[in-house]
Amino acid sequence: MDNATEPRRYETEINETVGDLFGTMLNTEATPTEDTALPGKDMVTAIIAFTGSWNGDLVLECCHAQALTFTRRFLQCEEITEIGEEVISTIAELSNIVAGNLKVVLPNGTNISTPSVIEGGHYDVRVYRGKIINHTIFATDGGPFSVRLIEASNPKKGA
Amino acid sequence: MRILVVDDSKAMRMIIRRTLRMAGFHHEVREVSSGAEALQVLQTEAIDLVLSDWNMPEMNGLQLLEKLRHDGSKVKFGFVTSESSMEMRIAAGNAGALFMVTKPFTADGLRTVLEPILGA
Repeated sequence: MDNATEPRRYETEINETVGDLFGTMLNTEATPTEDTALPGKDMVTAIIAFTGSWNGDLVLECCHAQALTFTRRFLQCEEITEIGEEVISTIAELSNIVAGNLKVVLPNGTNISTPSVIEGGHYDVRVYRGKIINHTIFATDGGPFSVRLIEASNPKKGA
Repeated sequence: MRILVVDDSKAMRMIIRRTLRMAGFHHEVREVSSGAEALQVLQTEAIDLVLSDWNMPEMNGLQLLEKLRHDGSKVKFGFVTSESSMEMRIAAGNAGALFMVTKPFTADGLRTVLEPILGA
């Protein structure tokens, strides 16, 4: 498979996994949109690193309101009303499921990290020494979220 | 029959516990968040089935299984993981895992895999 087709293959895998994940475990649809930015300022961001044969990061991001909605649905627990351990754990797990499924189509010998989660209102995740090879905003009836796949141009060592 | 759920994600432990009930398995469920904790529990408590994540910090699920088998444990063991490449399935099978459930999963999917092991 040539280099040009790989990002499309990765995009297809991400879209299928997200659709399957939201359909089976959050009981809602998640469909890719043409949007390029998320609304809202207070965000929750989960990052998973790929190392080894393929190097980069998967970044899943949504605002607080969506994170709360996704968590209530994922855990089937309506009592969750503020950003806390359950929300952080849920957004981490959603990113872990997307990254884990994506790993199957990445080159053999690629490893994934456990998720790191950032939450707050005064940060911006920027890409250094890498390029975004896929960025999709997904629409759900609980609000939008984004998934970015970043390929590192300066591979990390180890893991 | 007692089940030990090993996953560093609190959310996933909650979901596995809930999905087991939805799938009709009302067995006693213990939860731990790491392989090291799992080893402690397995040394001191009677556990019939381990459901473990693969990708965990410090000791991953495969290392946990290999440690158990090395120490002579014959506890039934399966993975519930988002990663399920062919090489991982082979490694899991060689180490003595009975099954690998891939996330995302449904109650029906979990029931299909666990029924032969836990009974209806």
